[in-house]
Amino acid sequence: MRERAQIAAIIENIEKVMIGKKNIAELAVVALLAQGHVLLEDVPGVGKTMMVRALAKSIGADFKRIQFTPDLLPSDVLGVSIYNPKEMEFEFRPGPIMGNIVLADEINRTSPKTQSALLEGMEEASVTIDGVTMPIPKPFFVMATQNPIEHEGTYPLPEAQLDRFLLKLKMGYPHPSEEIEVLNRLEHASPIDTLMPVISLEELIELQRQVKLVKVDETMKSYIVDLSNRTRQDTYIYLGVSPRASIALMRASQGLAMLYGRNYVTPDDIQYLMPFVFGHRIILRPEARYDGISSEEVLNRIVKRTPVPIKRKISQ
Amino acid sequence: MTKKTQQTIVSIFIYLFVFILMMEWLKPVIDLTDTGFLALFGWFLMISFAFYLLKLKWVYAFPVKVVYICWVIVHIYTDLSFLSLETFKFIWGMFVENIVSLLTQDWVQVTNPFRTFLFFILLWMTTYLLNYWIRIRKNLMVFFLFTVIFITILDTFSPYSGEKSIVIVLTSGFIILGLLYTQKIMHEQEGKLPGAFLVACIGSLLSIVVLSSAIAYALPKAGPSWPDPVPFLLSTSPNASNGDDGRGLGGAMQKVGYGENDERLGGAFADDDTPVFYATTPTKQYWKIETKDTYTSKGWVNSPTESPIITIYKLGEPIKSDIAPGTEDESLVAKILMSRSYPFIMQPYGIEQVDSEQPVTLSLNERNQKLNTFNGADETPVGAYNVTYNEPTYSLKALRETVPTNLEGLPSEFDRYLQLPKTLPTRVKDLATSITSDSDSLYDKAKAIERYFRLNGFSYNQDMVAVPDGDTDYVDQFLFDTKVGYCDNFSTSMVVLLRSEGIPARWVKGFASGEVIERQNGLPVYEVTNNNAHSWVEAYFPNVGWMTFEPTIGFSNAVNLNYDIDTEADELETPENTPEETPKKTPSDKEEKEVSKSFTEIMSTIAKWISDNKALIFWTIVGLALLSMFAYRHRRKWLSKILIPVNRMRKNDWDTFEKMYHQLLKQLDSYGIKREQGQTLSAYAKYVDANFGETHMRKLTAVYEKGLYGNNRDGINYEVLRESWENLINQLSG
Repeated sequence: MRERAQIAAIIENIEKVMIGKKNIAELAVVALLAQGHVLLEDVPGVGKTMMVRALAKSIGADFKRIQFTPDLLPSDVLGVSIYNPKEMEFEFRPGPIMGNIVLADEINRTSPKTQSALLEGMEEASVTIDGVTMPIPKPFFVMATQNPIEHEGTYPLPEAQLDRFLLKLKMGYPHPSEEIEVLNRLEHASPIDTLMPVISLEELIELQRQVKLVKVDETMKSYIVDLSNRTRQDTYIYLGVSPRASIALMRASQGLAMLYGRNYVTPDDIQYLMPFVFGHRIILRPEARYDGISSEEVLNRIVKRTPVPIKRKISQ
Repeated sequence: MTKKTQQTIVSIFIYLFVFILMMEWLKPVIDLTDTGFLALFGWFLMISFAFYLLKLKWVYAFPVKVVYICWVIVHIYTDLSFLSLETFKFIWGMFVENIVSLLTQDWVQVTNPFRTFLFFILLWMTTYLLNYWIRIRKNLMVFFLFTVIFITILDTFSPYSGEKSIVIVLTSGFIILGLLYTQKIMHEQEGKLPGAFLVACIGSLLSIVVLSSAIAYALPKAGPSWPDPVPFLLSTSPNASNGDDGRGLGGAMQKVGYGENDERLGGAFADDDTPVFYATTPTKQYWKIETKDTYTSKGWVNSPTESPIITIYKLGEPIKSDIAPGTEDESLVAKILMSRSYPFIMQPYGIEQVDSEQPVTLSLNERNQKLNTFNGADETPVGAYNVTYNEPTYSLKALRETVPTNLEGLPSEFDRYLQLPKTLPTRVKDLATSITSDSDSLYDKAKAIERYFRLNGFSYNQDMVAVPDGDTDYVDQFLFDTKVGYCDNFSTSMVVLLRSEGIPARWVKGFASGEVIERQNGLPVYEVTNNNAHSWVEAYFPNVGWMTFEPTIGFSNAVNLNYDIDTEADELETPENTPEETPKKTPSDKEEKEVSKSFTEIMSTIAKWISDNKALIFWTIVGLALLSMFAYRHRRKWLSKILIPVNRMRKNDWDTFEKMYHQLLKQLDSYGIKREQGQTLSAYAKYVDANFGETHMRKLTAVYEKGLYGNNRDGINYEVLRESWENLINQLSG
């Protein structure tokens, strides 16, 4: 119950600055709890940065932002060793990746070389510069954004790299009434400046540890595997999801269960998260595009067709 | 002891008892098919189960079994030594020939060795299946159930006796089920089970099974409420014998009539109304042919003797039988006209002399009271003769004065009339004592025994009569188990009961009086047919002599009694009360009531009823079918009426709740609120509740999901859930 209250407090805090985006806030928190990273795909100006900043402030974390440009170098992300003439030796200047919450803005604008530097850091939670491996402080949470509109001069992330993100989210435009509310709030002040942390980093790390204790029943594991398998067999899907995706779905479901104050995963958790976890991990066949079917639709169809286990497994 | 050792020990026991169970399958098959070699098949089972127990790889097990099968076939069917070229040729030839026969569907050509081989294959498959049940399913209930059904059916409908078998099957079956459950617990348990627990588990299982079977075995058991249908089934089989004088070996249906061999009594009889002789006589008579003295527990024989006392009489000479003719009335003459040739005289009681136009001599054998007819040294049938007789009359006073002490001074020649087999169960003697304990005189004791059958639920039947096998005593079986039979059962039982009480008695064979077919010169002519073949009882009372008794239900043979005692002294023997004075029935009168229980009767009644009511049955079936279709379509209307009370009877626990929840899902589905297969329960619950505007389904689902996915079943208030559940079920049926 304590966990639930803590998580609810974070979300409530975010909601103070983000109007009408509770589900995105929740999913971001789920990813944070599951120690995964989030890829936000949306047009500029819908509040992606605000979101990450609010999250960072709520947990009292160190917030770093990297604006990806075509000329950005890996060392600009990871950090660089500079010769200090006074000390007569090289001195490491940590890059923006060495933070708790990192916003990688417009990640598809930079060269693959720089992209992979970030993604490797995300995967290993450490960086290696000049032969020296340095751990990234915990908790470590990357929220990358990419702009789907401009393709000129972008480097789309390869599938293997996309796999590193736990969830891929879309912000979407706010509802007109919500947008008015946004205007109201920002009329005189910026609420982000007044946000106070609601939990400490240590508490967050404890929450991340607790998430792994949420029960995933055998039936739920087989349900996850069943869903994964069906993406591999679907006629519209060229490349199905990897076992890493199954793990991701399980981990995210544990996070969501905890968010709802449950200590077990239900099929609803899995069904809700499945498009966010699998969406960026499948490649559709061209036929799907001719038929005008998006990956969300394909995945929804799979969810509808996969029988939900509602009975105990009879063990032999 | 490690977990593995524990499991191995339990497995050894399981396989042992399964072997025992399997042997109980094998025994009747071997028995009924007359195969023999039970041990060889048994060894095969033993080898198979041992291999499965050791989990021997098939590459080793397969050749061993094949070699064993070949060896058995060679051993049974040939004298060849197993390791010779001829043997190989024999086996090879067998396979080639028979496979060709099988392929051409020429079933008759399949040889016995190959049939044996196929039987082995069947056993092999069965053991394989059993192994699967034991190892994988860990449940042998179905096999156990079928074994019990198999044995009981065989016991009921075939000559095979499953008496011991059923006990073995039940005990070993229960032990196997218990052991399998123990193994299941061991399997589910993470580590090894505590040894004490295991010992307690198996120990209590064994002791409960053994103790309860011992108690069940010791307790008295009710007799069969249904007559044994085996004789009926055998009689309708095409192999039934149609020999005309068959009191032969039990089993096949015999035809009624006089026969010499009574060594094995029992079995069904078919009617045969072939006339044997015609008797023109003023009084109704039983016609005695011979007596027998030695009861073998299966039937009757005559005691062997070195020098039978045979007296030769000429025609017209007075015959001295050991039952003296009466003296009070005039002698009567019976004219006998034989229509079947028998070399002996049909003797009425109180025979005085025989006259015939045929030149024959008569010889009376003191051993069996048979009056044979001879021409010279050869036995010769006499076609027509007159018998002069004077029915003996007994003084009731003298009869009443016979007391048990009179029996003490009997000469040794009466010993053969007191013979009883050593194997006779004591309960027969106990019964005799209890029947006669209220009577003082020997005569009253005998009458009490004669009456016993009429008063104690025995019934007359020719079709449904058991043949005792094994150690079963013919009389014991009739008195305590079947209680259904014909004259032989009744008369033999009475003789044995009389002898048990120390009263000398013998078994008499002959013909009952037959039916009057016409009148000649005012005298009735009796037609005596094979149907009238009969047996009854003669008992000896000191100072009175031999006297006849008729224990068979539906028959009566009046004895002339002189009521020479004070009326106040006789309560029972007033003419109104004597069984003899009941309206005389012809001996062939079967009492409808008594036979109504018979299996054949029931079967034929059923068959007749079916053929009479075809239309009714047809429309009833159609009606029932329509009704059940209607009931099925509208099941949710009435099913709730059953579901609610049924579930109320169940205890409040997770398993019940789980069942109830799934019943509710089914009911909802048939109501029309369908759940998509990809729809989660909580989404469905919301949908359901939206339909009814309540929250019952969400409540139930929340608990169910917590229990199912979270495995958290603590602190559930089942009462509240039951209310919600009943509420929903009622709404669905409303």
